Amino acid sequence: MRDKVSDKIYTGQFAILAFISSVSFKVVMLPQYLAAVAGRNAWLSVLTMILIDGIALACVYGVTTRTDIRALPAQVPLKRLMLAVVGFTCFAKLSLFTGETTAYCSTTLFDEGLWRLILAGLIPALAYLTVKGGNALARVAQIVVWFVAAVVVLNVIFAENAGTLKNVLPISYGMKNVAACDKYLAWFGDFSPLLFFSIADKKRNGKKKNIVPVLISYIFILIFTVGLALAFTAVYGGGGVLVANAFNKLAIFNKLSTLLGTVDFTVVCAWLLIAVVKLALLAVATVECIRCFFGDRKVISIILCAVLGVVTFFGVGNQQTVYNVMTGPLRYATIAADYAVPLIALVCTFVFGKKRGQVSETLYEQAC
Amino acid sequence: MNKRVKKKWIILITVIVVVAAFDGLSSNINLLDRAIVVGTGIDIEDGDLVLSAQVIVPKNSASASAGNDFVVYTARGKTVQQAIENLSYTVGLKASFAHTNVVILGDKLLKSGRTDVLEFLVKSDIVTDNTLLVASAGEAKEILAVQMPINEVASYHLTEILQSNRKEAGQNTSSLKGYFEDIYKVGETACIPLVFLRESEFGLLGEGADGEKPKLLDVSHVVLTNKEGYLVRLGRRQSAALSYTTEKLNAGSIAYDGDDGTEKEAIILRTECAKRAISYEEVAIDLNFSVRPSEKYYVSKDGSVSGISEKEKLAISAEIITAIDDCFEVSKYYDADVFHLGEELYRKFGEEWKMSVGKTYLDDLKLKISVNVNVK
Repeated sequence: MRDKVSDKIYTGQFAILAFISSVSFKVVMLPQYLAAVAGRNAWLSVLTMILIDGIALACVYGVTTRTDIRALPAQVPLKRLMLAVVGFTCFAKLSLFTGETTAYCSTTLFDEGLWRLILAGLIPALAYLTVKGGNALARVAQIVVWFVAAVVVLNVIFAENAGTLKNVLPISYGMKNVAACDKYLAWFGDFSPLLFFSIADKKRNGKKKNIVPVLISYIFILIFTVGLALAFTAVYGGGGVLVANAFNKLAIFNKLSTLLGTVDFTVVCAWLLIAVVKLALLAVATVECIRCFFGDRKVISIILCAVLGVVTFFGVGNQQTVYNVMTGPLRYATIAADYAVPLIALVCTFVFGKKRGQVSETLYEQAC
Repeated sequence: MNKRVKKKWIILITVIVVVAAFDGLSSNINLLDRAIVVGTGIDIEDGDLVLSAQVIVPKNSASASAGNDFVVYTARGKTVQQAIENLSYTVGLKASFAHTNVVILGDKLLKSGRTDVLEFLVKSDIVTDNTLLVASAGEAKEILAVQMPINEVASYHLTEILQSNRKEAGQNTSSLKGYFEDIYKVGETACIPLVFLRESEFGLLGEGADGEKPKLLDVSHVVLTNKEGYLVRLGRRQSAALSYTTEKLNAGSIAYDGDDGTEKEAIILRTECAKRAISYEEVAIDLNFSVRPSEKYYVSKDGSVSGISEKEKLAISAEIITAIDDCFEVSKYYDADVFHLGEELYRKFGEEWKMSVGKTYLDDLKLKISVNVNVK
């Protein structure tokens, strides 16, 4: 049965969550990885994947405006299979991105590593957000996005032109781009956790839901991912292969760099906030998947975060492990969870669904 | 106290405890307990790296004079990381390089082929990517230790010359980011400004001055490097030629032969450079120079106006072309594509060109230089 925690959100909140989910981990290590395979045309690989992600986002939006994945009008075995696939992928991504977050913090912000201590701070925060559920997370995202916007505006004002678009030339799309898309697939397709949300029919002020916030969100996703990949190449050219933590490095090229030193703390804070929201989103999705099979939300949330802590503490450990796992066969789970499931879910919604907006409680209970 | 308020207090206290405990457990070093390094020099001695660091020594409140003192500390190590760790022992404080403005590489280090030094600086987060990079004609620590008459702290003085005045002085510059951006271009060649000590022609004047001639830092030359390390030091004229093609200068000057046979000088107000590939074997460099005569315009009794005549404009153009050609010949000899002409060919003709020529494309490459001089 559903508990008191709601996963109903507004379109604006959906758009913000989609933006955060997509952007957060594409601006850290990914530009360097892509540069190593696709060179100066790495941005074309990002563009390709973001265009595909756009289709996935449209599917997820289509589902969430009518129902959510738990209440999907589909056969129970199919639904359970989809939930299992999404749950597994979300947990895998959660573990690996937690590893990436701790690796980033420990290598950039502290002299002595201290990644275990960072984990000790991160896991309780994730547990709290997960227990609170999707609606609370959406509200947190709403608050966080203002801080991110302020930091972006500040960075634009004080930006220093450190690159040249000549570095992007010659533009050519080839097998290298395809290989880059394939190898770093796990960093894309971030919208399946949003399948656990359903968009409320009406806002409090009576306005009907509309697609405009989602379109704006997608435009911002394009700017922050493809734009950043372009800026990265414009600034570093072929030397991008040596540059880890892309957003952190790019943020240094500003008029205040002498004061700021090696780290622009405003940018780091903004990124940390969206990283925590992204991780919490993955945790919420994992919890919801497990809950459809057994257990209570609170108990599962706490156990999940404890397991996450143990996995990251003993299993993931360092950036190399994250890289090896994410570029290994596991990356193909992304295709199933983040691209196939939203599409199947949308088809089920249209084919088997009743009237628009109706949620089948019976089917929900059957699946969960 | 109702249940809700009680819950909020519990959360608040928990957060405070976690934050306080986190700070305590993290054993983060206070800013005052760090040695802030503003300039770094790296030399090589007997196979060991010698790291010199110009460190700020903050004056305490009891100090009579204002401002801070600067001390140069040195430490040795087999690697940069080891030398940095040893530096903290030498200084007695944790050395922090986050505010390092300039890294000076000693002559012996550059010629030793220890490319791991720059690679480490690039890959690590110890210094920022916009830190200036300078090559020293001698030992890097000598440059750091010198006291300048205007700005006593050598690293600040160097930063001022290279960063703030680079356009006005027509100065070639290189940052850590710029260095490896160039190294990863087609041709794999980068240039680093060369700094050496020069004695001033005149002694200091004023109360307390002992007439001793102060030291000056000269950064009018550059050295060329590739992935393997040091290649060649360019002369002043060749270095200036390089700056014409890489920087949009605001000033600087250029000497030319005047109509009356005397050597004259024009002040460069602005330069613009565009490079374009014409064919597989030819690249054009189009330059626009805005100049003014170094002396003020005046009208003589016979009605002639002093300034720069058409013939002198041609002389300036010829001077610029000769300087660039001269630099190009050196770059050809050392197979160092310092003008990044290969990049232009690659941008226009793409992978086909790159695959067809291999690395030694400079030998057959022709340079077509055109200079347009405007007198302002």
